[in-house]
Amino acid sequence: MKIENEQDMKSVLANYINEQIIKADHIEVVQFFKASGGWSDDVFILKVRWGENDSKKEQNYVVRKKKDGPMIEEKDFLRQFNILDILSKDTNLPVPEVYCYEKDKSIIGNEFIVMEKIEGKSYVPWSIEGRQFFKKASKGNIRKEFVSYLAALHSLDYHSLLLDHHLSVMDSKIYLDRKIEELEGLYQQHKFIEDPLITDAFEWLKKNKPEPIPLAVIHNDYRTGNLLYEDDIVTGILDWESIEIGDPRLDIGYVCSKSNRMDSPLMCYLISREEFYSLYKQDVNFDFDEKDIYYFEVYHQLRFYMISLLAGDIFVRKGSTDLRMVRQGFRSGLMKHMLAELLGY
Amino acid sequence: MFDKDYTIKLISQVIKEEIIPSIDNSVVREQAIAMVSVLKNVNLNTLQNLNPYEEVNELLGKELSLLLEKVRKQEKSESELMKEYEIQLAEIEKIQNVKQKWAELNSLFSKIIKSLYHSEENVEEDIQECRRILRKQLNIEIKLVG
Repeated sequence: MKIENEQDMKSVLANYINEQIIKADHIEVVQFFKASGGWSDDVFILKVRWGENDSKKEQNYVVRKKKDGPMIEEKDFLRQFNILDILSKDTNLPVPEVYCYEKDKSIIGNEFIVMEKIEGKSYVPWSIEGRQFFKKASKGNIRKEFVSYLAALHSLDYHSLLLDHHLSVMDSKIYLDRKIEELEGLYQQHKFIEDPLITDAFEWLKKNKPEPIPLAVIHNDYRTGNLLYEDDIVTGILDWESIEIGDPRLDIGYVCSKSNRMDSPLMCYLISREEFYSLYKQDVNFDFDEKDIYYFEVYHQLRFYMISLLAGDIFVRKGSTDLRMVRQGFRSGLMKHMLAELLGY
Repeated sequence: MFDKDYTIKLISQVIKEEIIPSIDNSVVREQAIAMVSVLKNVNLNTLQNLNPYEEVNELLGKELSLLLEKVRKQEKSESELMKEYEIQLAEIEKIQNVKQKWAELNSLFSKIIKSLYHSEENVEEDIQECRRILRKQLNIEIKLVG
């Protein structure tokens, strides 16, 4: 069936979910909508109802459809499926269970994954609603769970979980060199000019690398905006696309990065730096100091700049009509300003 | 930053092709159609703001010259390289096109910073001097951020 509108999409997805997962004689779609478009994949939410043993059953599903686009590096959906499968079944982390991976692009136009819809709500931390929510959450249980889940992720034994079958394992001594090279590669590919401030930042990162520590499973986008909440608990951790076996201080630096807190004194609008460090250190078996985390904050600020640069490049050189790219591109000046402040000038 | 003409034309294209077709309210639709026309006129009646680029060119021309002279006179291992950069700076100063000159000056400044970081001597003070110049440059460029 050729999909021409949302109605077609609803019908195709409902049939697919019934054939692959529910296997009922008849199902009814109670609710269907496309979640607001993100930078990466298209997400559809379905609530379906069916009869089973004289009773009615209802279940929510999330369908994540791969989006090919200029902002996205080549993604391996099967790999993502396998990783989420392990994390949801074999760990205590609140990760959505995955039901099917479909590689046939002809069904809805690209590969997709059908997964559990975790109950809970997400908030944009810098929005008015988000600020209000996190202000309240900063006094409750959520801030502790935010830290304990990160520590639990970093403490996973990736080898016994077989996560190293899906994620590459690198020598910790060369890990940071590779991360800087990766970022420099992006810069060379998308830069408009050779920018002296960015040169300073890259050279500073190369010169001031902290001592390596054992690598762990890291999320790479762990922030309050990527979690789901209900009442006073964290119900889900989302956006696992960038998971890797890497330096756990990278996630800590990300939580503390200026771009994830802006004018708030609280890390990710949720927790003071001191309490974050203190709670985290209780749960992990390695130590770090303020200087190490500062290093990773600089790394992330440079990475945020790179995102703006990439967006600008997509607008100018690739002619994207996505105005969010233009807006993001114009922000590169602000990102540079924040980087300079972080570097102390 | 981005070219004014290119940016405004793209915004108009998005309004015409992506936004207007999905507007159901006729008043809002009229406003959006008028917006396209207004943007076209704004584009025709304004010039790209090159002032910050000119200011940066003036700043870097002056400051890099002083920096290069200072580092060269310290007679450290990179003195010869600084002499070479001074020659390059003199060549860049002859460029008339504002944006081309801006790009070349930035490129030269990047090379200077890289050379200092790779020096085997203690150049911390020189790097701080570079950062002082970068701060001034950034203060000018930030005017281009809304």
